[in-house]
Amino acid sequence: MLFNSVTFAVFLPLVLVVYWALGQERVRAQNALLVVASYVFYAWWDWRFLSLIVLSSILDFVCGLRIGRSEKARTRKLYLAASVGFNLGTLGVFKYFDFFAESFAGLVGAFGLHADPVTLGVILPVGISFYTFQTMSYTIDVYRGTIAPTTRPISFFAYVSFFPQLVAGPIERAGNLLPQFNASRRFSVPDAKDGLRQILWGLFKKVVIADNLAAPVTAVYGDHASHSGVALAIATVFFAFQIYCDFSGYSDIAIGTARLFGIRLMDNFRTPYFSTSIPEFWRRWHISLSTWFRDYVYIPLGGSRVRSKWRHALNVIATFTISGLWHGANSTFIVWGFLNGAYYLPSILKPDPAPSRELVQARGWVPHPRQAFKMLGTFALVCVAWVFFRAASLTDAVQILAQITTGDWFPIYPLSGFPYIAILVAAEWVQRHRRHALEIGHLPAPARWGIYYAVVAAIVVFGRTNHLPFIYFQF
Amino acid sequence: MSHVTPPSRSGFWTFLVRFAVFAAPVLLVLGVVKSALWVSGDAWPAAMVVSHQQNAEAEVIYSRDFLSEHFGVYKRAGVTASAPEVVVLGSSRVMQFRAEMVAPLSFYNAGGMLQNATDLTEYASLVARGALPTPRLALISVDPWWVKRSDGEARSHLHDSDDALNPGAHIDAFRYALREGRGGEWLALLTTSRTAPQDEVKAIGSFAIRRGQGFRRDGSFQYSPLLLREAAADPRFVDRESPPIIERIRSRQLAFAPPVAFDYDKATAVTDALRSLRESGIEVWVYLPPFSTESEEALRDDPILRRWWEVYLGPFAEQLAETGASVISTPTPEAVGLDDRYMIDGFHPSEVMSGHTLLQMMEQAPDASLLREIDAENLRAMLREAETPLAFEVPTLTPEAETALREERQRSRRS
Repeated sequence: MLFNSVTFAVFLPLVLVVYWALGQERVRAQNALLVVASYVFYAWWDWRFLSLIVLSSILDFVCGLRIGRSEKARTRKLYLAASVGFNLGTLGVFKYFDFFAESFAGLVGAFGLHADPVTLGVILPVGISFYTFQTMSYTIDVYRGTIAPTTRPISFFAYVSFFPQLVAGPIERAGNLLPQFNASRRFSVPDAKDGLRQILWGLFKKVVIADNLAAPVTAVYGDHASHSGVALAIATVFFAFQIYCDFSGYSDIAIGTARLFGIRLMDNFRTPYFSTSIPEFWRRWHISLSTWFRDYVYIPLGGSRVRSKWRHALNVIATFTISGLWHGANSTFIVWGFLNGAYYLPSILKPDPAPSRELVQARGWVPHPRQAFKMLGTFALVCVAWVFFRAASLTDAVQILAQITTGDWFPIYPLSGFPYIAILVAAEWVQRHRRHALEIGHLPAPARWGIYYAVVAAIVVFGRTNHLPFIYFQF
Repeated sequence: MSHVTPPSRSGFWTFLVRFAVFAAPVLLVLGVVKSALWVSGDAWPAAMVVSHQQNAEAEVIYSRDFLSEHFGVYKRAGVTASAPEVVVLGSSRVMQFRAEMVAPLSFYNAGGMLQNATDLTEYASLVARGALPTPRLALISVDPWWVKRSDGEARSHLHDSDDALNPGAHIDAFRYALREGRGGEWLALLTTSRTAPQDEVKAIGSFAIRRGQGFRRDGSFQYSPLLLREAAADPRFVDRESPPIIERIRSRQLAFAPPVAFDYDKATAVTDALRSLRESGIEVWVYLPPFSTESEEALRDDPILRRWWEVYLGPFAEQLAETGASVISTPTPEAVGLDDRYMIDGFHPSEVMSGHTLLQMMEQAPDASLLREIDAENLRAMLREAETPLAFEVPTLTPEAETALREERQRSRRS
């Protein structure tokens, strides 16, 4: 079931009405409803893969309990290994098996030997990368003693399968989400109102901006050899905004929907393209995944508390490369991750003595020229990496970059996406201190309602006519 | 003791009411959108359209505008409901065969239902399984691009879903209308009486209502009365397709786009399907429909398209005949003793030419053929009395209707 579908527009109100009709005192019944609704939501796409979620939930619930109750280090490790092994194993089979089998055959072939790759040809279950990471983090946190294991299976099942964030995040931590399922939820009108605003803004970003940018990006990247360097550069910029609006749009809808149920999810994006450096960009882009990799990969590798700067750099690059692989079983994603890690090198080898922790320029309507220059530079670096993310193969990516730097200037196609980008940048710049661009509860009612209707009208009139799935569903 | 409603619940209901107030204008607009689609017939499901057409006393033509036509769905419903003795199958190029040509046999023209070899295979499979009625005779048009190599797998159109009941498609359609500046046209549908511009013809669907063009109850296609009247006044050949077929061939685009090569696997799929249909007891006729003379010459002269076209007309036609099916090959109108004036455009023969083709088939038909049961005299009379090369009868229009149609065409060209 897609957020941008009519089915969801019927499904959500139905679940909401039943959920709040049950009453806040019936937490278990509400949780049970959320589990059932989440399973229906997932089964709408493919019911067969529901068993994976159920299996993962049961295993991690049991492992969490065993780890929490056992005092023997060996037993605790065994259950942790079972949880991590199952989740990574599932991910390995469904997501990476074919890639590694083919890569191995290619490697063997490079030495003049022949090996037929044994591939499974299985389809990738939607959301598998997200819910396995979420549920795995639970057992790791229990093992570390950061959180206590839950004894409430329904709450845990709701935590794993909560439909707003099940298939594309934010990847929640048990420490934040699980206590919310254990406590009673109170319906808050201001929260629900702002949740709806966030849903509306997410829909706008997805249906109006991302989906309108998708067509020229697909046209140019699908036949890059026939396009000029400028067209490729424009398409890359469009893709940067397409993927941002697509993914952050999804996150906004997920967060807004959760708020309607009285659940607070973590922020996933904070106007990342206004970043003035790469480290800042990664503090604002796909925050739930970045922090996941920070806590469960980067820090265990030693993080920045290592003997040499080079080892620190290696930890960063390794973390980003693994993060690239998380996105997809393709060498393009691995290079994308590596490149983003490599971007950190200057800041590691020659750290800024007084790094700015300020996320967005605090004051003023126009950024300081130095800040604007830094923003554009950061954006350009991010775009170079996006070329690898979007291209069909490494060869294509290299050719596209070569064409951009040395290719023809004409024809300058496509340009039609720029007005959408301008609207987005303007709205996000004005609202950059808020959680989302449509957080306008402080405005007078007529202005608010006028803006709501304008956004709804824009979705109806300018939204794309085909229901494109969210990009991150493929991961 | 009075019951106190928990604050969360009462807050939710108040919120719900306020949201309903906010959503009311949006829902009202959606209601108008849906009503217009329903009143015009655009949102009628295919089975309902077919039932309405077949139970009406006079002719009812059907064509949607704002929602996708989905020929496969509509024609499948038509074939299922009519269970005809004679069925015409293929692309739009066979849509001019009419029920009155094969009287007294029952007839349905499913032109548009089969667009490629995969569709034919699927049709044969459905008939073999009893999921579609078994006709006594099937006239199947096989286009050259059915046996042309292509990138990617061809999908079957027989399992398309109907947009009529898809709320998402309705919103998409409204969005399209607004972006095209046709919101007013949409609203006007709310008051339509579902009548075509030509005399005594009812219509279902906004395109049929506006243009008088669409599918007749026998499944065949009724061209715009304006087009037929203008062609009657000046019967010279005009390639009315956009872009014209000759241009498509010369620039090798659309159906003639690379890769251009004969696909032997697809040819085998076609012959296997024909054999399957014959095994179901159906008399099968394969029709290789015509191109205009200039287009056919262009096909023969093109250094890349030539080989594919030659294999199609030669070895492939022989392969078709080896299945036991009768083959009627008409590369140009000359094959049935006519000229390009009998072509609607570069690759669509007119109803008059289709009648001549049928007559030629009847002359070739063996004694046991169902075609022998057709009232040949009736068909000859129709052909003899045809008013123009394109139409047996030129539709009548009131001056007002003709003016409205011209204006409509101008608007359409501008948009």
